[in-house]
Amino acid sequence: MSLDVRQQLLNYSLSRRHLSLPPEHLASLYEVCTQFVGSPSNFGQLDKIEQNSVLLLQLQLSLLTCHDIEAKAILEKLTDLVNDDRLVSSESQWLIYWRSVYLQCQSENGNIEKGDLPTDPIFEYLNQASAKFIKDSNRRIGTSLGATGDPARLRSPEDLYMLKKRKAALFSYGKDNRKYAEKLLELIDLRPLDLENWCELAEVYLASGELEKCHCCYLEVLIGVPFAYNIWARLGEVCLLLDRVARDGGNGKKGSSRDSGEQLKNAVRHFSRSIELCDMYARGWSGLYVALKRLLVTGEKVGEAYSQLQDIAERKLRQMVLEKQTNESEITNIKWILERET
Amino acid sequence: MVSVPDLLLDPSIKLWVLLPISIVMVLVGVLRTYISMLLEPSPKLQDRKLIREQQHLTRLRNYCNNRHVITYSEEHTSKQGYFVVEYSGDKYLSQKPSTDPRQQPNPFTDAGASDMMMQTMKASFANWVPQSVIMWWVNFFFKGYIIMKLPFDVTANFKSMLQTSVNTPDLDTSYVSSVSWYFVNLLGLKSVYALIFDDNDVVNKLMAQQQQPAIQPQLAGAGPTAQQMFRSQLETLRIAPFQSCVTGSTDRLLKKYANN
Repeated sequence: MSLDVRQQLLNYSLSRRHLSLPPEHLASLYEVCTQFVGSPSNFGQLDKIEQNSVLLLQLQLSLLTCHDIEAKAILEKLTDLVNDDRLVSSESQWLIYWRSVYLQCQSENGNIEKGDLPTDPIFEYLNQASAKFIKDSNRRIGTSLGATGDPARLRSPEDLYMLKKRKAALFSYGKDNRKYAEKLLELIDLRPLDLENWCELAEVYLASGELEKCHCCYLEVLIGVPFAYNIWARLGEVCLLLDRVARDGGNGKKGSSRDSGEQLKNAVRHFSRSIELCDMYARGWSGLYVALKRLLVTGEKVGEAYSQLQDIAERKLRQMVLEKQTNESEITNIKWILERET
Repeated sequence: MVSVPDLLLDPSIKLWVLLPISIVMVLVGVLRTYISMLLEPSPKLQDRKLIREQQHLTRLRNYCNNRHVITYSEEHTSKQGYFVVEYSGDKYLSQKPSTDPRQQPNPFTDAGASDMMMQTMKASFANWVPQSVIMWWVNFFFKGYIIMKLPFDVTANFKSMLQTSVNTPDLDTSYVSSVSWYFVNLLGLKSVYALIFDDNDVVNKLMAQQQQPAIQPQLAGAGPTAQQMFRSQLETLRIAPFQSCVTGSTDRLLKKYANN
């Protein structure tokens, strides 16, 4: 039994599935995690890397469930563990990152109702900590054998990518999307393979109505991970929006270079690809159903295949609802789509 | 008829030669492990320019491999054009190329390579110095000693392995000399270390360190430069044919579900 709990916690830590759990599940997971860490016979048997993962999971859960005092204690435990084992150097970027997250949660406590997060103290902490970290690191490099007098080996705070990313993320709390997009583009220029940045940038463009740019960003993600079925479906959703903009004449904005029918066909293709990769993905089937419905309503010249596919999609969605093949919130969404589009 | 052994070994040899060699070998192995742990480099911050260069190169390579995710041929052409413009220059190179194409970079000015060389040298010292010292110790004090008789017979092929430094061609192969005992210990103490360390990683590292020479780092200027790799990827991209994977996705899906 305890082996199962261990594996479950490590799985959560690896997949980060806990970040999207509903509050009641989070609370029970927090209890399980706390009990596991509190039992020396379970926690003591893990190796250092696993202990690190489980403690990090516990830290995130305690922050998500508003256990601030416990979070502080866990952070101290993590610091001890990291320092003790030289997993990373004693002043690690990683620890600075999590301390700043803790600091942010503290700032949010008083200001969440105002809808405004004072990011200045967090920036200040990050800048000070990075400067100290770099100073220590450069001192070590300077005093190491064979490295003295070589300025090419010295580092600057710009080299701390993790903290740079953290600072960029703080711009998401501001009202200036353009500034946030600029920061994300800087990160992308440094590490184009960090697909998280591309996804985030796509969402920023989507929020500001720049759909073509959003489409390009998601394509970049697919170039990195061509089998990401959820991104294929997301791309389909962007195509649905592009179609809406093209049909509305863009409300004064420049929408897509392609006409409405073509965007709908594109959406159908993307949703089909998503389902091809994962045939149990409810969002893919729902998108396919909506795209086909709209395409057939527009009177666009399409083959018999499209109407057949629409029947298949509808049948599949009804089956998902009937047999409860997906989670509760997805089932509610599917029901809403089926009612609305019928 | 009573069988008489070829040689009579003094029982105190066991106590004063066999046992000390074995104990010293085990202790030195343990000491060497801890020394090499101390000499392990602490994680260093990587150079952001180098990472940027490598990541952009991989991005280009990824596009060459996964270009099928693009839907339209014209999109692919414009993307191709973008990559050619972006990656033809030296914008993403960590080091600006020299103006003289014949000039080779000096391997001793490369910080990464000299770090690796220093590391390799330290690891080699930590490995070879104790080994040489014990070898000298065994040779100096116990050269020519026969220290034990194996409780089983072995073929004559083992003679060179078990009777190093004993120049008696007719001696039974099951007698083991002190220097050979040193070699047997050097290569065969894995299970003893496993008992002491209780950690397979450390044991495997120790055995690998004892048995293999360290890998030499690649010196600067030895392989193709980043600029050459960018150019070669761009060439591949220019001639690569385009076919989208989404073109027939609807038909494929219909075919799959039509019969269900």
